[in-house]
Amino acid sequence: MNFGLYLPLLAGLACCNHFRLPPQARMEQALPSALAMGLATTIMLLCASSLSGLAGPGHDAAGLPPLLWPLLSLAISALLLSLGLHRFAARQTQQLGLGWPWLLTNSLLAGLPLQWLLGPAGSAMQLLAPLLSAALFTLLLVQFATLPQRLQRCALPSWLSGQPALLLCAGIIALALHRLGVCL
Amino acid sequence: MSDFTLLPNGMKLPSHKQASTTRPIATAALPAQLQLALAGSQCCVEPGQRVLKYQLLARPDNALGLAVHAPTSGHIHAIAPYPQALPGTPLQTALLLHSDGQDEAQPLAPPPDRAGQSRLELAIFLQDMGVTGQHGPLLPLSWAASDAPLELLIINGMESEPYISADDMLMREQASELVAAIQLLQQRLRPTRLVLVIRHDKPAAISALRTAAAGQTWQIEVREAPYPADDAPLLTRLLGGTAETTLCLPVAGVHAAGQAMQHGLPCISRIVTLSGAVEHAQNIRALLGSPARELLALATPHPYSAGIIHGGGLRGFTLADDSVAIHQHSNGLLAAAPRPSSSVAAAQPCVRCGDCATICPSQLQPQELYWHCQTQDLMQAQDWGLTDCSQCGLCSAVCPSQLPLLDSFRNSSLQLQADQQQQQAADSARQRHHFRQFRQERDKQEKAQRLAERAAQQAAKLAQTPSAHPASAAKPEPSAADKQAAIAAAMARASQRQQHHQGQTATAATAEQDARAAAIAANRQAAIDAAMARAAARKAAQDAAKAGADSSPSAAGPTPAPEPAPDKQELIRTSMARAAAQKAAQAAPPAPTTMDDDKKALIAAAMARAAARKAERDDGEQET
Amino acid sequence: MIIIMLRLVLLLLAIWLLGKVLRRSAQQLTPAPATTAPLVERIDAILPQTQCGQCGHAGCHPYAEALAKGEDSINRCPPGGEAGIRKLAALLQRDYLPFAPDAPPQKPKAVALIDERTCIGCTLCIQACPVDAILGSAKQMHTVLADECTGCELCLAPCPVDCISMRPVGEGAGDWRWGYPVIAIQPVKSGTRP
Repeated sequence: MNFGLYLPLLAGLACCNHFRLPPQARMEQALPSALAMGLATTIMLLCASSLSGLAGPGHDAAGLPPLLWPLLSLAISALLLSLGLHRFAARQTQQLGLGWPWLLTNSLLAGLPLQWLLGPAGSAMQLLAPLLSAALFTLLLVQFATLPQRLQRCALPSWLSGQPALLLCAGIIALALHRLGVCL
Repeated sequence: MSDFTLLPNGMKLPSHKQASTTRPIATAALPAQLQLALAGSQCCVEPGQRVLKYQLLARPDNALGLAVHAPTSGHIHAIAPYPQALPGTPLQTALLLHSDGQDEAQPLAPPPDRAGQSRLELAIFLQDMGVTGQHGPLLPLSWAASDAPLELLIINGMESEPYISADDMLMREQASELVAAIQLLQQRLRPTRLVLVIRHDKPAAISALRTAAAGQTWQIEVREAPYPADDAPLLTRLLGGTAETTLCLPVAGVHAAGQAMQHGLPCISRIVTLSGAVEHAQNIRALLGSPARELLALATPHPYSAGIIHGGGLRGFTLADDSVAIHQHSNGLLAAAPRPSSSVAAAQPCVRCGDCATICPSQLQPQELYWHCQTQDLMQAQDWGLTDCSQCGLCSAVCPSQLPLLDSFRNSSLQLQADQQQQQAADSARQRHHFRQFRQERDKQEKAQRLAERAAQQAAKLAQTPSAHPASAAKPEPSAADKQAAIAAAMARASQRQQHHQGQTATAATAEQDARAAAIAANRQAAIDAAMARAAARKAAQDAAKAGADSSPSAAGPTPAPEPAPDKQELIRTSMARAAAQKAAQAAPPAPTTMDDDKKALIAAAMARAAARKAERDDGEQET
Repeated sequence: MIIIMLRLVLLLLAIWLLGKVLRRSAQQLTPAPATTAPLVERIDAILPQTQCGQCGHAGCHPYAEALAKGEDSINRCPPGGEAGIRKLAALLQRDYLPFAPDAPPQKPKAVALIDERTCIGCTLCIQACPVDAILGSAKQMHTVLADECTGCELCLAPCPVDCISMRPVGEGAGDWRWGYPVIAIQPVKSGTRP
């Protein structure tokens, strides 16, 4: 695992997230949904890194496998957040598609490779990396949320318009991010 | 560009107003001819007629139209289409008035009793006096007819457009009259709050108004606001009013309304700022309809100036034709300085700098809007707030790529209006079509019902009668025979009468009426004959075409086609001969009037034309 | 310690922002999305309602039904113009097509005018008019309501005396609009480019 794989993974994840909304809701609720999901991911990653930071010195001693504790902390934070969301804003959560399976998937797929990549690095990096990756993920989500509108302007042939064009864009973004990640 | 200081939602512009405010308002000399556009008004004078100053020339004929009064005495030279002071407009009907230099005025009608006037009466009075507001009459008739409460009345003295100082000079020099006008409006309209709002850059006007308005119950507000502050919706927002309960009136219109309400003076002139590349920038009181070039010549434009800009520095546009006349909304005429060739660059692609979005006073996204206007995607443009665009022109002014933003928004918003009208027409057509379908269906059902009822009745009668009158079962047949006999008798009577009349027409003048009726009937008959002949011809042609189409694969096409043509021609010829004969027969009695003759001639001509056309078409068909 | 504090602050900030977003979307989403009309009605709303039958169907609604079933192409409506084709293409998610070569040519908007001196009052045009825009009765002169006439030309064929003509709707002062901005193209000298 390196950044050349991790960043395209984020792009793919964002694309899948865009398709999680029902088609008729994609137009109006895409942007708020993307923002909400991005913020939720930020919260989950921060929460997980705090948890693993708290338990940081101990988990080696407990003899756990190296990635089990981050996995647990990510899962716990995702479930905690979905519980909180369900408790306080059940209707909006449902409307914006912030169900627990998606929260869990995002949290694990965005957080776990990061823990793997960083390893036992300096604490400043531990703080920055989740923030940066969550910010990138939010950007990608917003990008996919606004893409359909912008694609409407460029009179695409009908076999390409809609989903195929979006997938093509996702591919291009993933490729670009792959180059970027390789350079890191 | 460097001295522009950008402000959020608005722009501090170099005002260029000092030049034209140093001199008092001058009065323009009487022009030799005046051109008065008749938009939304019905002309009530004739060419060649002599008119006096203040005489009514045209009446408003819709809610947005304004009355036109003669600005001076003279002769109406022509009523014809002339170019008007708007770019790219079609010609508009206008009155050309040649002044005779005497400026002879007709006595003014006293203004109607003020106290008992409703606001609708006041609005109509001001419309008849030709007092204009932003769109159409000063007080919009639709507003005056409604019973919406008036909570805030704004007298708009902001005038933030660069170069223009007409309102400024009006407020300085005629402050007391303006105050009287405002007072009258306050008495009549009774707003909860009345505010005269002035921009901070007019200290002389502010002090003049403050002294004149001492002891008044309304307030004068001095506001320091950037450029498009004279926009009515913005001003309403600025002063905390709502769109439904606020009315915003321009200072010039209020002054004219005061003159009309106090003295019964119709609005025949307005103050125009002459500025730009001129020697003596100044304000003049010019008669409506004066040619723009003559007016600007009063300020001695520089010899190098190129063209005339109508309006202010940002919203103004270059006049294509210098000889057009000024109208009610012409607040300024600027002599345009020639642009250095380096600045006339072609538009570049949008660089997404966002300057237009920062500066837009209506908080729109001009770059997005421009995309949709470019692709004529009006639905999207409407979603992005095209209808909220006040067309202030700031986005065009700040655009580093020199995109024609303002022009495309102007174009698209009018396109949008036209599309909406078209959509309304389509909706009404759909409704009518649906109703027609419904009606046809209903008629069919009713007919079926009627038939069924009649059948049932007859069945019932038949069931009843055989027992009582066994002989009357055959009743319908004799009645039909009776009817036929009656018809035959009537026809015989009619023919007899006709013969009788024909015998009489040569002698009796009293039979003229009947003769005319008979002639018309004969004409009708001829027309119907012709129509039948033509229909037969058409049918024959269709048959021939069908035959031709059928036989064309077997390459024997030309043979069957010519066959029907001769008898068709013959039919036409006979019908025409009949018509001609009838015409000759009618020409013999002395009675027919010229009207009948005309009509007959017209019909004969039309028939001849139709026959010729048909023959031509047939020839074409035969050839093909 | 500072790192943990910072992390906590960021966490709280993110939670606060999420709350904001949720509340905002709740405000926006409260009006329930309007139920969308059936496809045929949405297509019918785009069609110009001239009921002229130039598309080969008996009116605009039958054409809309055929389009909704995918039985006809979108380029068969001359009165709708190219803008109409574009709208249909966007709604039906098909490609823009130029006008069909066998479709009748586009004409400027016109209204029917009956020559009152030639009219014999046969009522055939009244029966043909799809929008009831012709007034008159048997053996009386007929006249066209110009405001209601859609310019479908269906009344021309049945008239036995050819007294109906189409008059184009003139461009009046009310139809004026700002010209679409034309960007001046400046000639580039041959030597300025490599």
